[in-house]
Amino acid sequence: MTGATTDVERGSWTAAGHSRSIEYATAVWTDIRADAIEGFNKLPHCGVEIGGVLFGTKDSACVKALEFRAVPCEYAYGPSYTLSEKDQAGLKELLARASAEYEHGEA
Amino acid sequence: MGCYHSHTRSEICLSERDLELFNRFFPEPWQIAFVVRSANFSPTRAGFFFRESNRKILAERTGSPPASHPAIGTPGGSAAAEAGRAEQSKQRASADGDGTEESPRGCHPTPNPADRSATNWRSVAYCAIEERVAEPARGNAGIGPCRLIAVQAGAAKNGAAARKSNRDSKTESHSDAGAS
Repeated sequence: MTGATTDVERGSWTAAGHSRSIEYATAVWTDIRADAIEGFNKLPHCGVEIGGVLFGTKDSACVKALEFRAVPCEYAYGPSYTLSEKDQAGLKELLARASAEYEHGEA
Repeated sequence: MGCYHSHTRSEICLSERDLELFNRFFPEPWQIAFVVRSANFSPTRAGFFFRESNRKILAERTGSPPASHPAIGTPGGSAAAEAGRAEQSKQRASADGDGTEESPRGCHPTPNPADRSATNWRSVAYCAIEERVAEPARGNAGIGPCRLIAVQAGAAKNGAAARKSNRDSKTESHSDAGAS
């Protein structure tokens, strides 16, 4: 999850007039995009939306997105990515687990 | 460090629901949101959103950002410029013809510059246009090698020249990234 900063092909986003930049592992973008297209093709008329959590590192000027994890959605409210209570519980659990893994890794 | 999600029926923006989720689970000022927009017969596009120092996150919508004007809500942009972009976006959306661009739903309207409370919602969002390195197979909505292109807000160029320029700068940018 975090700390996987070596041997990863990366790209970055910057914009004039802003000091902050966003760096990303190209695999993150490629995989998220593939998931989004898969969702798009799942149903006629725009498919379903997908989503998840980005993991990485940050410093004062740069945020680095190095990994991601999908957060399943039961689509209780239709094809948009609107998380139900159950979905949100899953997200909460994922964040707690990630936080624990990070702390364990840091220890 | 943030969340991502795709939009298939609305543009690259943060809807009220998106914001609610983002603010609830990702409240830190440095956390980001990443929105991916998939569509038929046009490249996947995406935008990052992050908060300004006042902790508010921009969630404005300016419609589908055309390739020639890829920045969403260029900071300091006038209302007329915003309207122009929205109009261009509309035209592009109808030209895309994927049937998904009709009145984007669920996204916040562009803040009214005359509204004092809106002045804190300056745009700090950038949009990247996916560049297809290889021509995709028919009907797969652009699956193929791709990279994000850094967009300089306010440095929009037109059509093929912009794409060529983007390709050039992208190659350069990626060389730099690879070296670091």
